[in-house]
Amino acid sequence: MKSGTRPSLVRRFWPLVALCLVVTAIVALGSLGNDELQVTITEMMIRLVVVVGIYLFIGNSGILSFGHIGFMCIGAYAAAWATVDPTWKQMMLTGLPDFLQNNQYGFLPAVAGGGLLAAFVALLLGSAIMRLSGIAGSIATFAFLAIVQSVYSNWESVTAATSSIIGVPTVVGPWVAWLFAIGALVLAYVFQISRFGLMLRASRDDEVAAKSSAVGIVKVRLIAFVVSAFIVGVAGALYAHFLGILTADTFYLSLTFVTLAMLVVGGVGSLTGAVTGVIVVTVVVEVLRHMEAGVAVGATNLHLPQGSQEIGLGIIMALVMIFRPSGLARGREVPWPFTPAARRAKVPAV
Amino acid sequence: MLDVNDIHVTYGRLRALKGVSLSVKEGEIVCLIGPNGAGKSTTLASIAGGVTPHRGTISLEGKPLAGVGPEGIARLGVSLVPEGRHVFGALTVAENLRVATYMRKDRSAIAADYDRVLALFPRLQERIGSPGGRLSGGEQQMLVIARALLTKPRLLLVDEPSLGLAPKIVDQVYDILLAARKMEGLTLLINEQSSHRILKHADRIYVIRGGHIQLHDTAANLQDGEAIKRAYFGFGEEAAIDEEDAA
Repeated sequence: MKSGTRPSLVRRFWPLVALCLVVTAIVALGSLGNDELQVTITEMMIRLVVVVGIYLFIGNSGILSFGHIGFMCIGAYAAAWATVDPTWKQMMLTGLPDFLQNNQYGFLPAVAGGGLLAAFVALLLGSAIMRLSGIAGSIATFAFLAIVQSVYSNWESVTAATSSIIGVPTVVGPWVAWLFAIGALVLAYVFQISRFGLMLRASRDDEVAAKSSAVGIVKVRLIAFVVSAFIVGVAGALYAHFLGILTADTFYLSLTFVTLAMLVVGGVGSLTGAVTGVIVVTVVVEVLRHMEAGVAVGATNLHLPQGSQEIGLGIIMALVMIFRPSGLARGREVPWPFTPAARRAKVPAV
Repeated sequence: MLDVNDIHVTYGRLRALKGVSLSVKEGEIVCLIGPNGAGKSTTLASIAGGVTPHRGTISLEGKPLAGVGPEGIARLGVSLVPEGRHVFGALTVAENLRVATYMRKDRSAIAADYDRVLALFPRLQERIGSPGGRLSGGEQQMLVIARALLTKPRLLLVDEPSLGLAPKIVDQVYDILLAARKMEGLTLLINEQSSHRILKHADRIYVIRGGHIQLHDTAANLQDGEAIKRAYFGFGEEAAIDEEDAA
């Protein structure tokens, strides 16, 4: 390829670098705050991994998936099976295979295992449903979420069902979560600019033209689905080691709604959008939560009614849909800051 | 090179093709003309693997294409320029073109082809960083043709290249198709609604109407246009065939 048609390496990776800097700055500032802020930041970073994982599939393929929180559930439980104390497992999780029941593994192998199991399930599921386009594919992923939820909340001997898994070591703090967030960003960006990402985005724009350019649509979709499930599975494993307690209810509709809301608010068309959405929605929800708890103004304690968080999130989504239908980032990546203003104005000429 | 033998295609209850046969020889320009709904696009889509005929065979250099699938057929060197400018709207012109080269095995030749094809399209060179969706209609048609050329086809199927374009732009599109043919040694099968422009360029002409081939001859024999007119509008004996179908 001629150099004129492909920008230099620095410029190609600039959006990724910019996003990593923003995320790092947030964690660094947060680490100066109190314990409550640390918890918020950690959860935000884990959600960033989830949303970036979901974005990798939805953003590039154009197929809305409601099922990714199911992969998070799978990853979370798989990691917990590995790191929980064996004496507890032998008592409660009698259905686990011996190698999990009688041993205790480290955090990193557990996270890797969580991601790999989610990716494996995605491979099986995806082989069946990746030929579906549009709403049919979305409904199939939703059915998958319901199946995972139903299995994990009832399979007593393996998931402890309603009595929940307890004693998962809580080793995930802001900086551990940050490390995985950076990893997820790099993976998602490299995939996006790789030939597979480009072919997938081509198939999103126009299936007929993609096929006549010899793009194997089902294959590239499946690759994205598996990689995306891996990232979300890893996020699930992190979440398990953040919460310390696992119940299947954690991984259902409300988490699906929040993560998809983040993606929609930020804009599903770019990685910058995914990151923006996580940051904006987290800030809005946190502010509203504090206001629900009450703010002291002089002698009186002003507070918003319970449920303001959900309503606030709904309003934000509605406003974004009305004024910026393609999300806050408008489907674009962080622009290269050193383009002269005069030239930048010329670029979007119609 | 290409042999289409008695293919039948139905969409639900609608019988779009009722036994179409045609052949294209290496290096030829063959044109399929006919009115709206005659079956032109369906014929090209069948060749490219987008729709599957329930009867009849299509073979490329003697090898049947049944079951190969659209991506596989594209890899065999048959490229379809679909009707209605299917650009990848969110991808830049450069990315649109790059997608087309990913299936190729001859990686070393791609850079040279890229430059050579782009030299045919100075307008695309100027818009190389713009999203495909922002190009004008004529530019989009050029982009789709350039993209098809980069898959390095031997047989290029072009579905109504003049649709919705100003006559001046249509001339440019044809000039480019002819230049590309000369440069790449292409064989062309082109669908059109109107015949006057195509009579200048084509070697042979098929007229299709109502899912049947009504007329087939060399362009030289059809220069006066009378025979085409009769076949196209269905005066005379062809009316009988229509009634037979209706029954």
